[in-house]
Amino acid sequence: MLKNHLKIAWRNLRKNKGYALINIGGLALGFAITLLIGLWIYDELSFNKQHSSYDRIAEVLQNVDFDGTIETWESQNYPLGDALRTEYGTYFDEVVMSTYPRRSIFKHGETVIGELGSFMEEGAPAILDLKMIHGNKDSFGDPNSIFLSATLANSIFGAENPLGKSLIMNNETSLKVAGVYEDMPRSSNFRDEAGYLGSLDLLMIGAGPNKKGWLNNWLMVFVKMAENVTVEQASAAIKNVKLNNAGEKELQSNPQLFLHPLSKWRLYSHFENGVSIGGRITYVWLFGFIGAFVLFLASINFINLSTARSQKRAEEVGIRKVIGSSKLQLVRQFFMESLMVVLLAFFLALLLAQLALPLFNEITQKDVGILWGHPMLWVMFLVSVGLVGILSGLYPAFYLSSFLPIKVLKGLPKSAAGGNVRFRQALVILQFVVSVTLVIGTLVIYQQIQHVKNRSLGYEVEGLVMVPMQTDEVKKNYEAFRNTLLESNAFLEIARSESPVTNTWYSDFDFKWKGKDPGFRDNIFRGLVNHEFGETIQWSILKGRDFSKAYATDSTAVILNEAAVKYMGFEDPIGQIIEAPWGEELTVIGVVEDMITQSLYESNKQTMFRFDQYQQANLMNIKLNPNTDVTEAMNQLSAVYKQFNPNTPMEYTFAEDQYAEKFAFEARVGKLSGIFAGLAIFISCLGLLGLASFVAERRTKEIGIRKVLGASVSMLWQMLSKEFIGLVLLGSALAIPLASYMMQQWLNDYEYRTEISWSLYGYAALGAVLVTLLTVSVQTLRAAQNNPIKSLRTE
Amino acid sequence: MLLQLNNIFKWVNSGGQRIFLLKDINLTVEEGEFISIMGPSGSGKSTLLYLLGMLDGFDEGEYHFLEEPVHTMKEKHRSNLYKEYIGFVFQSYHLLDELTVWENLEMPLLYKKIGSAERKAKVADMLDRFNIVAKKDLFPPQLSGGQQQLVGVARALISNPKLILADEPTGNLNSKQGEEIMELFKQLNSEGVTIIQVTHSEKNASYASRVINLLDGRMI
Ligand SMILES: Nc1ncnc2c1ncn2[C@@H]1O[C@H](COP(=O)(O)OP(=O)(O)O)[C@@H](O)[C@H]1O
Ligand SMILES: [Mg+2]
Repeated sequence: MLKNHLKIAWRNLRKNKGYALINIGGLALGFAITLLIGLWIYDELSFNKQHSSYDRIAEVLQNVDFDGTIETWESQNYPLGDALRTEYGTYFDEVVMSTYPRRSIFKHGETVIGELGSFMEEGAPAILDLKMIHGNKDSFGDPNSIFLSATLANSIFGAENPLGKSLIMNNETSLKVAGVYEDMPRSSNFRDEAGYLGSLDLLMIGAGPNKKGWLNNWLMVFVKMAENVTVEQASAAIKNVKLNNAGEKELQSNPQLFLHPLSKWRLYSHFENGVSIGGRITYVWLFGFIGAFVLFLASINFINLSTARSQKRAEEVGIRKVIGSSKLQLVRQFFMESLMVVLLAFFLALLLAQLALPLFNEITQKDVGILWGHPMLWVMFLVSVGLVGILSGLYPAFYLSSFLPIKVLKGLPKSAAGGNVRFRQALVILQFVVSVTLVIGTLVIYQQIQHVKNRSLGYEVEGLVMVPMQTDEVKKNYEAFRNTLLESNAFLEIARSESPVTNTWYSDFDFKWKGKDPGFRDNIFRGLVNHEFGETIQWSILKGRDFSKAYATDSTAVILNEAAVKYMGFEDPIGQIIEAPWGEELTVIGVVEDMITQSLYESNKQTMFRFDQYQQANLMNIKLNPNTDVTEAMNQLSAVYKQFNPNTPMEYTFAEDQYAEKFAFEARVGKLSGIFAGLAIFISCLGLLGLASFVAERRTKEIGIRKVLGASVSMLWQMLSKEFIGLVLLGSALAIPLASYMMQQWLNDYEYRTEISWSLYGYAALGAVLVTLLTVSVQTLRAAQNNPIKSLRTE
Repeated sequence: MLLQLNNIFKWVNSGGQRIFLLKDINLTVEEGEFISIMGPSGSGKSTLLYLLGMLDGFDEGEYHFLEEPVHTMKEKHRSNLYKEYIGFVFQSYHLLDELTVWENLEMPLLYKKIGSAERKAKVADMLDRFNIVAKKDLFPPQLSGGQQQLVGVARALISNPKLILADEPTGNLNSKQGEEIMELFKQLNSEGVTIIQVTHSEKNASYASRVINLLDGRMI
């Protein structure tokens, strides 16, 4: 009997190939999308979870108050570590300070390799949960030795055991390899931090008071909490460590320390006014909703199409009953059939998802795979297959199987065949609400990206290459290197700066100037640059002048941006004297047009460009001649670089890439939502197609009669299509306020944002109508072209 | 006595009005009879036939089948009785188009939960008897009307019913094919199967030993 049921189900599918493709394909697509989104969410939620002390690791953050706006900073100062250890030791098993990841160059024999890593204190292995391959965790912390990740060790030493071997770091320090550990997993926040691990003590050898003082925030501080200590307890305890130690006077910004636990780093790292207001978690929810919706739509669609189809099987039900089938047997048959089809769809979905994974991983920048062995997959399998299978089987199983056979066999009124048209219509409307909402969402995201792209940068990113000066060799040879480069006409100008112009994050505070309100707690971003910087990035001086070699006094000169002039309240900025917190008197010599040196989405920040009198700026900015070929210029650049700096590999970034980074996340979200919108529309079209064929079938006779009476194909097409256009317009009308509300919320996160134009809604609705017409016409045209005699005879 | 109808009434309510489909039907059928039901279109012939076949109910009266009261019987019991003793043949054949001839014949046996070996034997036997062995792997739409009706009759017969009910079995066939089916019925009848058929044709009706005439739901 089972075999027989399956056979008939299979033959039904083969007989109606187009329908089967639409129906199973649509459901499979829905399953596949949900599966991928599920994997994405799973990956996000399990970030860092491999850490063996997941619950006990935290980072020490501080809320600082700048005149009413509370900012949350990660960076801390050097004395904090000892203060936490001595005063609050009972709360923590480990307190470990770490530098931000920095690139170092390692040399061993002929091999020279640059890699990102950190300098940390003794407890680092516990904080990072290091898994040692060679060496002993406890030996970490000796300033003369270094730990390497497996990948780095392998690229330096190849197959040989590196333990005890020595290498040269940044051409100056000789270090012994004391440990090799497994690479940090991709799903770890420490991944960038830990290409290599050196001892922080090494950096502190010969460090000046500035580096060691309470005012210079340049480190991260991680802790491993003692057992039975909660984040809240520890946070409350350490709140005022800085104030107590450094004194309020030096720390006007009222720093309040607290712990940010490892479990929140990935998804809850967006702070506003000192409190965590989420972060990536928003996208987890968003995608979760989209996934659930897509599955919901695809399932309902499937149920809808299946049941519309099952009307056709009323006759079969009658026959089976007449030849002896019980109702139960019919119920079982229909359930089995729908389960079989849903199973098919599910396996097809697994295949689709597997095929789409590379693309998916590329867009999402992830490394997820289908978790074949994970119970969640199979729970999802059981739940979705069971649910959809049962729901889609429900209607034919119970409704059809309760038919009295005479009803269908005597060919009496086919009243039942009408089915739930209202339900199907409601479904189509709902589908279009979702699809049009997604379409509008995508359009708004793209409009916003376009909006920020059109924002004036205030400088020229094109052809700007940045090369860090990582070793003394490079610093020493700077002038000669520059002069040699300028001999070639491939290079227009070369300048030094502390930060890349696209990312100027360092700031100083506690300046004094004429007219400053004594209570005003200032914080001014810093650009440490030399003479040629302005020329290199092509900034625009609005008032005064650029730095110049002609003025010896320029060693203490500064150039303010417009925002800084406003921030400091200068009527006439040129010539103003600003007293730096370290005592120097700085003179304003010019005002530069605001430049986007930070976020594209925020207003320009007050920035002071200071002349780099002590040559601390270690980034070379190289402007390529737009008239030369980039590859050619880069070849020349690296050749000249190598000639001067044989022991330091050249690393470079294009300013353009850093600029693109700024909206990479938005572009990714836009791409994903675009894909989802396309798929939602596709699935909705399947629903439309189902409804259209259903309606056309139901009205076959009417169409036949109308044709006999002289209706033309186009008149019939209009008549049949009108109904659907109405549904889609209604769906769009409901989607517009919904989408507009949601997208306005989204835009509100951006200080610099676009305005959603009305025409955008118009396009979305128009698009929906066009797609509908196209889809529906496939069916309606066919119905309208049918030979009327044929359809009338069937009655 | 195979079955007996006493004072059977059947009606439907439409627009507050009671429309009678069958009025005061009294009928006794002995085992081995061959009966034709005749009457104009809409006179209630099919209704009566389905009622006899227990596929349709009635509103008043009594129906005994093999001495058992059908009108008070539980659904399950009734369907068992039906499965055991009754076979149906339709004007438009009503075969399952997705199944082959073989599978169509096998279906009723599957519903009766008959073992595979016995099923095979019975189906083979039936194919042989109706001379359609060569068609066993074809699907109904690939057969002519006459051949389809042969399969229809074979399917009705396969579970050895005592009673065959046929609703205009030759209505869609040409006269030669119709004659073949009638000859077949005659032969089955001579083997002891009771047959009740609805027909419009005087000639086909004459194969029967008794003719019942219906007019507006009443036997005349
Ligand atoms: N369930 C029903 N509801 C309303 N009218 C019915 C129903 N069943 C049958 N009829 C009507 O009863 C009459 C007899 O039908 P039927 O037995 O099919 O006639 P015949 O087979 O003699 O042509 C017809 O007029 C038919 O329309
Ligand atoms: Mg009839």
